[in-house]
Amino acid sequence: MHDKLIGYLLGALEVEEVTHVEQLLEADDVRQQLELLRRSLAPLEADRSAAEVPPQLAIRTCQRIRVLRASAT
Amino acid sequence: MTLERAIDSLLKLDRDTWKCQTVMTKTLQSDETKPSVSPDNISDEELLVRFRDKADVDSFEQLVHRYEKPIYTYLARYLRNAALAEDVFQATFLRVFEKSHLFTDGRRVRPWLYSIATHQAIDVLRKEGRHPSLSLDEEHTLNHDDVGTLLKLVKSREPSGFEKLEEHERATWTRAAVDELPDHLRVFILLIYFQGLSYREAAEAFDMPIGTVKTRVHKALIKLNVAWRRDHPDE
Repeated sequence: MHDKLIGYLLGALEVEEVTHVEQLLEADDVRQQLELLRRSLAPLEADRSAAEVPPQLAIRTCQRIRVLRASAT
Repeated sequence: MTLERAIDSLLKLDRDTWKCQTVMTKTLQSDETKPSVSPDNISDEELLVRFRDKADVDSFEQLVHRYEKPIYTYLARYLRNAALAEDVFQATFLRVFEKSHLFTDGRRVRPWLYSIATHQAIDVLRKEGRHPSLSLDEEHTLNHDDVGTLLKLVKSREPSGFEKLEEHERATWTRAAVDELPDHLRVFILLIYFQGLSYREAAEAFDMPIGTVKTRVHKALIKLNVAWRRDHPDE
């Protein structure tokens, strides 16, 4: 069950598994376990900032591929 | 010139030169502009299949735009180097462009893209003398000692211990602690925690049993919590 609870906290479960975990969470002891396990994620939570995407990266990538296609034909 | 050689040559182009070329040749589209043919409500899978089966380049480009941020931010975290992340991002989509015929019906695009991006990144790291491994050589199931260890670690810690640090200290610590993880664990923390893949998608990306993915995530969490205890013994 713990792996399911960790998966639930991580958002790593499929929809049907989430439903199952939510049913389990109706029990007090399972909710307590969940809160304990939530603490195990604390060391990760501080760094949610994502790197800034370089300007026009997708556009430049598409353009590069067009150049490659042209040079290959 | 073969296509592969052309790719190698272009990947070696100086980045600034490339940027100049980009500016000179166009201004093709603004950041917000997406290829016009493919509206956002078309699934990733449909876009890829349109490209694979009908050579619909607009659909391919729509995918590049959709995944610009997620794949780049993933690569930046994985490689810890913005310039390399940019190169690998481009190499990833070149690979998708060339190998779309390998995408089989019934697969999901998201894990497939992350798989390609990760393997491209690993190739680059190997060329640089780093040797990341996503080896399968370990147990595939979670054992009870691991669960016990994690619960013991968190039970003995004050719930608020981590919040006592300044925000930037916490972020710095987290980044360093994640970087310290072995690659075969770190990649799953990046994919699942930071990129939001499900266990199933992560397993699909690396053709691994879901149990292995869960085990690795769990082991990574234990290591992170052990590192926390090591670095903050008073809390």
